[in-house]
Amino acid sequence: MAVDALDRPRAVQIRPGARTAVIAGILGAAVVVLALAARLDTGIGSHVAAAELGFVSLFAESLPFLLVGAALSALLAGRVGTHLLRAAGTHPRLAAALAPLVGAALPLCDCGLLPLARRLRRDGTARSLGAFLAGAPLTNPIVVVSTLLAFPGHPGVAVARVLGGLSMAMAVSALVPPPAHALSCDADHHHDAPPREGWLTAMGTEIARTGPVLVLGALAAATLKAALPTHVFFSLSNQPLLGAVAMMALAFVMSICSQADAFVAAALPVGALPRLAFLVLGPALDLRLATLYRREFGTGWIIRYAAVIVPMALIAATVCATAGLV
Amino acid sequence: MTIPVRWAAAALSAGLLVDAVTGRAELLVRPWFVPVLAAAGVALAAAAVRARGRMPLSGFLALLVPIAIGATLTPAVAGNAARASSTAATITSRLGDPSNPLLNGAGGHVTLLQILLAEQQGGGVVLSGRAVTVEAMAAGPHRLERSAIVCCAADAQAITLDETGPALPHPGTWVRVDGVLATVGDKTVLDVRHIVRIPTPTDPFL
Repeated sequence: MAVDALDRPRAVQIRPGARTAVIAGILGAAVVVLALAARLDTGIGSHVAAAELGFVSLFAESLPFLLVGAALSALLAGRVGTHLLRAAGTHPRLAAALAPLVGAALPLCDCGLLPLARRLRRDGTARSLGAFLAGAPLTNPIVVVSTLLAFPGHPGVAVARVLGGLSMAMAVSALVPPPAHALSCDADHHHDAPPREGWLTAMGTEIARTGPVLVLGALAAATLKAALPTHVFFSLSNQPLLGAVAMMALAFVMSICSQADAFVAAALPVGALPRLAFLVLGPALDLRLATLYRREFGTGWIIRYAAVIVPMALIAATVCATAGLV
Repeated sequence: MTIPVRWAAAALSAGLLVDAVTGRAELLVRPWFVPVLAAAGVALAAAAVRARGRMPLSGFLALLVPIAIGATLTPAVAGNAARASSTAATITSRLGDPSNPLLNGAGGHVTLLQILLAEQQGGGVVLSGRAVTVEAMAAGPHRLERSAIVCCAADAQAITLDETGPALPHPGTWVRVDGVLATVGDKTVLDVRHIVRIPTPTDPFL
């Protein structure tokens, strides 16, 4: 027995401390290599610099809104919020119809809506979740006001965005079932409800939960944007429908905050339909949001959500552009 | 292995506050957004005091990545990044801009964006004859360029202006040029009289 024990090959075990040091060392080395590459006076150097700058700025820009969303979500756990959510839970169809309009009361960018969506899911109103995520980013006051400012004298653009958001919300509400876990929670949604926490504690919890995923989403979006030749997207805009699809793809990749996307859209060298398609889809689904939603609601749900809102955004933009709203 | 959540909140808070205080935040976002970042830093500091629980080490390390990369960003890196913003576009309006001297009938030290916006609002003919000084990057023998951001550096777009004077240094070189605005066809150009090489500005983006 003693000989067997000695002869048996032993699995290599790495102490957790050593593994941590290795991971931290690799990450540190990667940061140093990137920092040096960004200083190279070459095309690659400028693209690395653009990716780094885009990554850090996307993360920094999103963070305040995520914190505000977490604080609002914690406040929603108060007495009034609990009553509202309970009422919504007992009237799921009405709640789903009203969910996108909730955005009008939320001066939040798209990232800030995630903690609130999680609250909807947790508190038994999961059927409103998809409609909320698709519609609220386009009905919120920041988006409406920034669109009015970016397109002075053309209020139809803001109207078209809101209509597009409501159309997507209705389609999602009708066609996309709630996330799987939420369906099981609807029956008895209090069984895993976490204890109520203050808004400051909620911010810390949100950072721990969503922060790392936001890092990945911002990294993916910034890297793709720096690597893709964006002028190719613009070259497709000669054909309105193809251009609209190209601009939707660009909106997905660029992951611009919804407080700023109207100003960027106003500067795009494309026609009315492609521009509107960019404006309607972007706040409801981009690469950064997709990363967050997939982590929170599952791959199957985000695929179904995207499969509904992408064509719906195109239809809504086409109808609004054809009707002369933009 | 897990890490206290308060460490993550404290690290992010420190990163945001240092960026806001040192002015590095202006490489990332427009000046009007810097107070928002500072407020987020303060809120995270308070959250670090109140935060409970622990988080996976991998998540904690992921949160350190933007802080670490942010610490390596300098005006030179931002200037290098500006060269990659090849998406020439026409910004038509922007929040938080001060008054444009070109729209008040004056000239002097202006930016490429101010020239562009004045051209859109008043027309190139109105600008003809104005003497201006512009800081920009050479993007060709006779083309000046500078990137402008709408909200954060991720949405940077290139603003360009052709010049009709002596040839500029090699692309990527920062210059300060004196000249007179003129109109050629339907385009506004700068008839450059004097070119000086300058180091990368502290805020390469407009």
